[in-house]
Amino acid sequence: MSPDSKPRRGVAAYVHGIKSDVELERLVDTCDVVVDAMGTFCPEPVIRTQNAARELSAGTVVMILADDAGVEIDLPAWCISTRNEYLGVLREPDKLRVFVRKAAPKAR
Amino acid sequence: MPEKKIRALGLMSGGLDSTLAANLIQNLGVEVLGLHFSTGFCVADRHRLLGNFNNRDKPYRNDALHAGAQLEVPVEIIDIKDRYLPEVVLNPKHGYGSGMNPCIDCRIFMLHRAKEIMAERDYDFIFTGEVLGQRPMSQRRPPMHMIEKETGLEGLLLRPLSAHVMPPTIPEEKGWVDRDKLHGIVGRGRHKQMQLAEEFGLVDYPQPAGGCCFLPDENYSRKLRDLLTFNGPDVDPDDMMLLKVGRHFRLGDDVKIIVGRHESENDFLERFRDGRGSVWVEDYSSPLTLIEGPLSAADLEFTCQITARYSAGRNESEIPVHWQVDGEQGQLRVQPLGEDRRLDEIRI
Repeated sequence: MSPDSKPRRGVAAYVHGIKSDVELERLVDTCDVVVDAMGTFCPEPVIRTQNAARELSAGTVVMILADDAGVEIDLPAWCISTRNEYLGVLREPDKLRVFVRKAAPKAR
Repeated sequence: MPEKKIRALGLMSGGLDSTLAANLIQNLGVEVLGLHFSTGFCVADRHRLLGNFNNRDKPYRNDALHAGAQLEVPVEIIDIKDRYLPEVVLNPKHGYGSGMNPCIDCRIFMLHRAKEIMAERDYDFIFTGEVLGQRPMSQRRPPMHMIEKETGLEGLLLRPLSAHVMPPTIPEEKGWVDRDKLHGIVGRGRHKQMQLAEEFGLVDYPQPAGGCCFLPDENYSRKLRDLLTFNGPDVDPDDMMLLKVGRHFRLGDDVKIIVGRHESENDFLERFRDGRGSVWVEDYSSPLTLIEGPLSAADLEFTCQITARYSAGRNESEIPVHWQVDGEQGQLRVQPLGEDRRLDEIRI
């Protein structure tokens, strides 16, 4: 590794959200926006989340409903890449509820 | 007044080359936005589609998003599925490669869209992970030059991994990026790229595995041609999705059956059962067979025999096979199909 390069994140570094299940349960009723991606396959849930987030203001909490397990790895990656905040996932037998908080746009 | 930061759009498939290109440009102080185009023909999407049903512990990932997370480069997925089939796959100006892969037209289409985004959002140039001589159709000098010309991106399209063997671009001439820090990689080998990955501390990237697109694949292309021949160009998205799984057999101009090859494909086909007939064996491990189109009694019996052939009861002299068609259901006792040249004749 060259001296000016930095160690990169691996998958394990970002698959866990920052909220506990109890806190996420509260967000089920109090989140600001719901993105329904049930019945769709990746990358569609990410596309829907990304398109919804474009219109939202910073701090908005989005709950994404999906039944494709790929969201558990793709949405955290999307959050890191776009600097949005990955809050976590609630797993239910028939669906996943993924929570994301919109970050402030980066100053140019 | 602070100097405006130079901003670039990078085409990111999630493969090693585009990840390295993004890393290189980012390291030169340029603000990067990765664009990942979703065409509907991505091989990795199929793996995820099948694997994720029963594999919640280790789901397949989107490599472009993963690369973006590693580099902390924002990646935006650009959904071009609706336009890609009619505008690129069906009528490629520059022809197909070995299958139904219109690689040059595909590149042009994506770069056109990137150019629009560059104008809309005030980016300064575009870069890709292309390597001169790496791919036979689109990554040779003449098509690479022609692609620049046809997209109107002459001078604004940088290939950082092969920059030293290409004419200098505007970003290099204007000093937005330091040409000396770019590379002159040529050919199909991956050695230099793997060295660079190590230098950059990139440890987790997909191995090159014959490309990321279904369209060069001979089997897939045959199924797609068949679908377009019998269903016409206004293809239903579900029919497109179903091309990615199963053994396909055409019983008539308007009748096709799809036989699952393993449990994951059966689970996948299950989702498409509504509105389609289905056939399966209950007493043995069995494929789920979906039927598209109106079926005669003879076709139904033949479909049951085919399904029985691929079940664990294939060596029995006769087994019961269940069917469900147009809201009706029943059971037929059939002899599993043995070696039969009819199968080869109807296999798509």
